[in-house]
Amino acid sequence: MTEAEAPLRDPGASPGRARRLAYQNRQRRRSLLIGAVSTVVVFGVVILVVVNSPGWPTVRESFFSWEDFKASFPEILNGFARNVRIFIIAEVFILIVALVLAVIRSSRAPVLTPLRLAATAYVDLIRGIPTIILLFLLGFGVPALRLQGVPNSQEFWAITTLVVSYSAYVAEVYRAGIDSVHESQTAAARSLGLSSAQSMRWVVLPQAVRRVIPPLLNDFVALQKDSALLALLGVQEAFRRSQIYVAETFNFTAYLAAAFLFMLVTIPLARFTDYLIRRQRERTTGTSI
Amino acid sequence: MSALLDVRGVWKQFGDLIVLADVSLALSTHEVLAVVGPSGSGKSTLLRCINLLEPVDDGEILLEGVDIADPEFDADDARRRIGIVFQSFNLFPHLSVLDNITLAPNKVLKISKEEAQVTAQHLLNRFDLADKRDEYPDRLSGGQQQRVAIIRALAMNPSLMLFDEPTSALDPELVGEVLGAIKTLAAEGMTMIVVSHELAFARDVADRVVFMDEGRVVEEGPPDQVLVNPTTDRARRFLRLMAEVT
Repeated sequence: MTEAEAPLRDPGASPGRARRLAYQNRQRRRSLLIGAVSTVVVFGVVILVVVNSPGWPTVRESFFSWEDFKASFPEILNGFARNVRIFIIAEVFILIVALVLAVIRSSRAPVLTPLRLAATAYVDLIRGIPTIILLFLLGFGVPALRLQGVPNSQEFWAITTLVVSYSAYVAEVYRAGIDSVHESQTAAARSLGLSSAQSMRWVVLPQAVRRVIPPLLNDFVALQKDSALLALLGVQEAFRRSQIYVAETFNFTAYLAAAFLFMLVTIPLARFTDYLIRRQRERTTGTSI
Repeated sequence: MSALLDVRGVWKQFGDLIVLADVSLALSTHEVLAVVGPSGSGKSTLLRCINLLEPVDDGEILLEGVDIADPEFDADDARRRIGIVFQSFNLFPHLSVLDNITLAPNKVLKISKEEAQVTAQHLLNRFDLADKRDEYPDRLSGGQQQRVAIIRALAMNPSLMLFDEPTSALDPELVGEVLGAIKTLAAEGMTMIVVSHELAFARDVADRVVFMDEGRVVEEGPPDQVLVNPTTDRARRFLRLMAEVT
């Protein structure tokens, strides 16, 4: 009784706690200082060595020329708008096609057997073909057939290639998510009278998709970079534009300008993915380690 | 009086292991049957078979006179008339308490969301969980989760409720609230089969007790007989062991 009625001690006031806090603060300042100093020293030395090496002026001139950057940038930026449009359209289709593939592969309904076999073959086959070969097959091969009613637009086939290739990978990501939902969830859903399709739709998929958002974003980053492959079809995107500039001037800065634009979108997305993964881990395990 | 549930000569095998060997039992409306026995005796499998989560290898399971274990029978239709509460709750973690309860009435019985929510709210009030309706399962204690699971099953208005060791995943101090909820249901006349290790509870709430061992019904009768003065050696040995543990 008396124990429960005793007033709680203000933890901030105790001398033992104050001493621990002061120690932690000292440690934190110390690690910050060490980190800052070592970073400056290491990078300083690297920069000094590079800048003073005999080839540096030529390298700087052909890779880091500010004039060439300025001159090539507007055209490349213009082309990059096309990359953005292409990878956004492609991503929408990839997410849909892959989900359909994954659900078909995860279902056990006998009616779907032919579809299931086809989906399995598709995923195996496509993952085995290098994207660049697929791109040439679809981008040059199909239009060359001059089939009636088949689009000839290079951009159409470029997007199709990305969708065909990436949906095979993304389907496997979804499937891993579906498999990670414990079967007791399906049992609970079925026990309430939900059909197997309803259990999938309302119980398994919502949990599965939530779990695979980080790996999906990871594949999205890869897709953004692979949109540069479309230059090989002659699509006037950022990399293609920089190639043209380099061919005219023999200065490679334009490549870096294109790379810079890609990094501008991929790095923040990659950071965001890391953040989501960390948050998910904290949620499931309660720790940040 | 005709039986609500009539299990006749059910066999179930996992590979070479015979889990249920010629199990028969009957249950009339408003009756509470407790199933006890050592672990591995087939109690949980029996419940999963009655709810058609596991297909039986042979035998009949008559629910209101119709054999639901018949492979031609629509299993979804049988399941929606039988509620089951699992040992590990199995709430849907991505849905709030309210959505956990209304999902099946809405999708299976095609009851409008609003109407299903009214029923759910009513049940939540009855089981003292009204303030948890918008919480997610992870934020509830085990006892609260299990009571939500009971409500979720009740929301389908089942004619039979199955409880598969509903308190064995709970901390001891939370067992009481779940047993209390089951008792309320029994008092209201719900027909139930309860698989449990809580022998005192079984004696208190059950009209009849079945003792199972190695996939067979070994003894059956009123609680005071089966749980106090069993006639078989195996049941006596089991009771002695349980008395030592508690």
